[in-house]
Amino acid sequence: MKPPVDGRLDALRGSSPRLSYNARSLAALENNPRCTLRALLDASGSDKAAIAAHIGYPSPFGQSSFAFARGNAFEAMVKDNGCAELLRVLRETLKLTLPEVAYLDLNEVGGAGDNDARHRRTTEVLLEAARGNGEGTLFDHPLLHLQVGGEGAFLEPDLVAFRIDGRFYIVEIKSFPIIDGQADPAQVRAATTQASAYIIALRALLAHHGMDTGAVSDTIVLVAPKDFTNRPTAAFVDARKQVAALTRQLSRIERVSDLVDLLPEDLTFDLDLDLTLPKKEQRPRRPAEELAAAVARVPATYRPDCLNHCEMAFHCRAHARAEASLDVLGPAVREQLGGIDTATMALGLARGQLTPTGDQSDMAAALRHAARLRDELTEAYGGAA
Amino acid sequence: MSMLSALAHVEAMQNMTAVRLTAFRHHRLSDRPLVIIPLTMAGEAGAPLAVMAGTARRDMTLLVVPQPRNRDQRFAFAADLGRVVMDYIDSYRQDRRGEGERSQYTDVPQIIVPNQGGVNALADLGRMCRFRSTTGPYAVPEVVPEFGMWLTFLVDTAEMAGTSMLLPLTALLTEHWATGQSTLEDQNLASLMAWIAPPRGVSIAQALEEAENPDVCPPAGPSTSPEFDNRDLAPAIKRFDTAHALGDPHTLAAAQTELTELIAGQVKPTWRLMWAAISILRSIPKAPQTARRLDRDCRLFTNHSDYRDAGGLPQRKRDTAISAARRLSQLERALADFEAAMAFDDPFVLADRRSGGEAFTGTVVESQPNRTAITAKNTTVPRPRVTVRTSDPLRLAAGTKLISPTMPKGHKAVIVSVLPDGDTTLVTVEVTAGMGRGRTPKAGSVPDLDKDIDYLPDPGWRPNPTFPDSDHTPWTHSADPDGPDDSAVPENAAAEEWGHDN
Amino acid sequence: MTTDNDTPGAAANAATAAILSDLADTRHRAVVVDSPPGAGKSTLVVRAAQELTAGGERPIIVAQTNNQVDDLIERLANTHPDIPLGRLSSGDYSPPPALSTLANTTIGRTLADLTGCQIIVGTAAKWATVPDTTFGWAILDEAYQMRSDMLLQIVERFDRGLFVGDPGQLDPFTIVGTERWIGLPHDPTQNGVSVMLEHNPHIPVHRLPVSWRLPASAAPTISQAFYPFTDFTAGTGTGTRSLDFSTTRFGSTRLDETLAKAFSTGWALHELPRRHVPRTDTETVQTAADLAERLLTRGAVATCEHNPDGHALSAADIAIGVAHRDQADLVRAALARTGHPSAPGVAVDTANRLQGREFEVVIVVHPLSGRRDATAFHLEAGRLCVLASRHRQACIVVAREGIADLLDTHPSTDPVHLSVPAKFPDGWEANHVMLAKLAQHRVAA
Repeated sequence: MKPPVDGRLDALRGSSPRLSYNARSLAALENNPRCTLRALLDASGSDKAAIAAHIGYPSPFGQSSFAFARGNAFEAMVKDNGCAELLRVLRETLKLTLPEVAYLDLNEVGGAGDNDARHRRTTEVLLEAARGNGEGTLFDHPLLHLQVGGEGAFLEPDLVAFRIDGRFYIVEIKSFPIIDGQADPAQVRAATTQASAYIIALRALLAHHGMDTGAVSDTIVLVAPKDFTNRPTAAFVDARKQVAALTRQLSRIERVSDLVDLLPEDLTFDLDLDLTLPKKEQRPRRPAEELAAAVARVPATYRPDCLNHCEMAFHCRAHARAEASLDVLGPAVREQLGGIDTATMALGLARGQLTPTGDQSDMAAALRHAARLRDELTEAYGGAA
Repeated sequence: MSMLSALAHVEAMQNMTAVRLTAFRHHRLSDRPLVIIPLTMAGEAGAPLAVMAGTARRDMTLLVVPQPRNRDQRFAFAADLGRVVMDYIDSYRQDRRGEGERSQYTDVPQIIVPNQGGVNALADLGRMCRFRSTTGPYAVPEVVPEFGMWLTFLVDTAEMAGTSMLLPLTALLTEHWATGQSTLEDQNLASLMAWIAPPRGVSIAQALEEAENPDVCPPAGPSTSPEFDNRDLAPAIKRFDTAHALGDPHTLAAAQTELTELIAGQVKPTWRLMWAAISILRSIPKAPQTARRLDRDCRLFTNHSDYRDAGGLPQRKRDTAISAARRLSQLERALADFEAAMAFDDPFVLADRRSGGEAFTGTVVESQPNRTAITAKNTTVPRPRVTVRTSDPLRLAAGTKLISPTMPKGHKAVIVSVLPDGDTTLVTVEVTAGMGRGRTPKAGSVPDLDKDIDYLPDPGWRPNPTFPDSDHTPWTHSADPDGPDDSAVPENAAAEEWGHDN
Repeated sequence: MTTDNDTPGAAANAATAAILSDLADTRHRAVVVDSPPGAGKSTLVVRAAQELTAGGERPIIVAQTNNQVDDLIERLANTHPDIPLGRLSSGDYSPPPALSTLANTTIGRTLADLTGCQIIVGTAAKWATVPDTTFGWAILDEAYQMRSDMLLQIVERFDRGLFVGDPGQLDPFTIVGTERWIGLPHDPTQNGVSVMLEHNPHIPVHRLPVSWRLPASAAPTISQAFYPFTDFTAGTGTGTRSLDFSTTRFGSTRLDETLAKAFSTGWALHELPRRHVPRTDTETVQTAADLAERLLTRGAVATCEHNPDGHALSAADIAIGVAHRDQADLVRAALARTGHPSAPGVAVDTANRLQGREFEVVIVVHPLSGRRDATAFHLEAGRLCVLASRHRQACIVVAREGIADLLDTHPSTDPVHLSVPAKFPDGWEANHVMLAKLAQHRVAA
């Protein structure tokens, strides 16, 4: 039976097909877990990029075809010939003693689009392996299921799980380079977050069938190009902290149903697409102002860092700017001006035009001192550029 | 961040204009900097796509790798760029001054890139080139490894505070100006320049919007915009590849010209912006101690130059235990010295420290200019005391050693007591140095009554740490102390595997 | 397993015996001893120094600060008045009064001044200036506070080393932001012990199993939060320590309620209303000072294994711990404002400076109190660990409501690196454990 909240989420999304959680929305969950707008858009499977574009803030996350091609080519190369290159790095670089290895692509089951069938097949195969019948098998594209905010989500299967010495390991294949043993920490972090979601989902699967969750390692294997070549190399990444953080985040996140309850009955992010047209020709028919007004009714927690993660960030930044919110300036300034929310208020206190409330008096004194210093300097040297 | 800088950012945001943070420019700007804009190909490991380089606004060279995935083209490009950069560097390896140990070059090269990403791209390029062999199966031109070693040297110096041989322009600009946007957005040169100097007749708000539109302001690199990649670059590279395969020189030349023009269109707006920024930066007076830092740059440059002349090996892939420890100590010292020098030279920076209670300015309200003390060696020395009234939120404790930019060189003092007095604070300091050799302080060496005076903590002198010899890594820092040190040149230097071509 | 180890004392003795036996075993180039808060680290250092001396060695001791050196000298001199001690010091060092009266201690600027000394003690920074000489043994105290590059400067001064320290406390740090050494086994910004162990995996690592400082009310929580993989216990049972007021409560304030909670359970969370404030927030700072003042004014008697008949708490038995130096300055000013004559005697300092110190009652201004975001600095497990593990009787935490929300909003965002084991304990997790414990001892103010 479907809980009623599913109906509300479907209504929020409207006519568009449901999008599942992906690397970016998981990273956003980790980076800004308390943002209501993001939580609702993700939980309802709404197309954030299309919504942002329609209300005038096209998302900046286009992917270069070069990066795309490179990623695919590298992954294909690593997996070629029954994952020959993958096995080579596991054996040579990571010094793993692997027996004869089988390769099983779980993507080839059930046909595209039928996630339930694919998930059933993944479950069946992985449980069988967990019982000991599948040692040394590489499972490509396992489709797993994760609970996010009380709602189920399928995880995009673009990695490999394998089992050795009675433990499952998650293998991530990425096309950013490992140069002299180091890789871009932001990229490693994103990859680890994604893998952590898999670890949690795989553990949940085992737990659900009464098996030991310790059988899933929280060390992931990252496979990436070595230095400036196309040859793969591998490194272990310790994901314990991120698995713990994400686990806690998933368990503590407000239940989406609580958030939904606070929304006006008629609120929807529907783009009103004409689904009878081919996908490429579908254009939103809903008036942009109407959609913008709907989005604006949901509170967002903007941080400059969102610009790296969230499709809605430019919309949220515009709102923060319009309110003269100090969120625009980022955490360093916020930290210094704790308790003061807007530029207007900060300057009002600094210039003595606003009377500080009791708890603002310290801050006001510090601001007035700083303003006095700046005035003296500006007088002597000129201020603006 | 201090309260003062935070306030500056808030002012900038509210008034929609950049606000200055310093009175001076604390980095040296060369009269003839080599501006380099590196572009890389998305998704490839440090694959150069193009570079625009030149020492004057109207004198630029554009080098393009038509097919960045092709190894030969990559190193042909590296050689071309290497020659440009080495000609520039060599022009600074002419004039030396001083004898023997002290002999050093009198000026240093200066490479300016748009942003930190530009520094990283040069680091990758340096790493890619410096181990290459000029003989054997994958031989590269002579200049390639040399260029790689010099790039690596420059990238290494860029980590050291106050050096100016390789500088990201955004860092120079944000040192002097506060904008009404976040640190993250300040990394975008066009956004930053929109705050500081929007195009004539364009409002800052509009300039900001344009700065984020890749069709108006293409990214300053090293990444190109995905739209450009997909819409323009990918088809152009494809046409080049086809022409290359057909072997028809006319089609090939046409395809190459088309590519070059496409990329020129992407990089030129940044080129113009960089020179505009450099010209604005030139108009800011340079801080007094910039000269001292140039001297250190000359020393570093001379050392590396002599090492290269002696045919030294390329820098290792990663630091050894001892070189890492030595470098850490150099970096820490450089940072502490640079911060102290900035505060000493620049009233804005001093004010920053004052607002955080780490320095103070006040008026002398009491003075005992003739006070003396008897030292352990039983000699009488002048130890005048003065009391300064300040309204700064001072947090320095008694015993803190001080220096003062408002007193003659060599002046040193130590805090004796700090007493709150109403809204102000009375700080009594004892002058300990800078008074001459006599029993009475020389004229002007003790602050007079009613004089306004600045004090900040003395960064002090620290001994140079002594580490074991580099060929004797002790047992705590090496797995096998008796074994030979790992070789400086990786064995695959000649031919790092390229892997499958795709 | 063995019945000998059933009492805390026996377990501690067994650990010490094992350490001393490894010291005597010439196969080991080094011996590492991990010591949780108050587990008798200094006692061990003194004991080991004496044992080595008795065996004909002339060991040196390396500590990290001048205060630590002075404390060690005092302990050594009092425990072993027959051993001539040397204190290696820099030119501008002036000994505290307690040291200048010690008969068996010589203070010198170079080794030449200390030729007759059996044990020579100095800071790592001072030892780094000593050329050439090599001693047989060095005892490195607070070794986890020493950076790897400092170890590199002094390692040639000794053949073999006893590294003693608390792995749960604050790690050394650098102001230089660079990633160039990440993942290297000899990363100079890491602590010296980790780097040494990385290169010498067969060095024996011991652990002191009993905290003699922390009361039974605190040891399990601190152990769980900050030493998740190395359990330790309290040396005293639940009934051994207690706090009682010398006066009955006059009037009724939240401060009294908080003190009463701390006296009866060993912990109290004095929770101020939710608000985003700067770290210099007057109300928080004043509350911390007022709690100390109230404690002094009402007077308290502490009973423990050393003072079974009770000992009247004085200002010297109380500390207030904070995260930032400016907070410490403001707390000191707030203490002065309370007007209590002995209030200025309360120790007020940052976590960094409270490391290694011990008090009866500690009042902590929570590093995350009133903050809008949680930076890596404020989440650092070592910081909270130091603050929450200085007390013998009770710990009172002053915080604004909302830390749990803050933690939820700011999960740990440490960068992730290849082949670098995650650092444990994780500050974010540790904060959650502490918060869950404190929630049971909450007094809303």
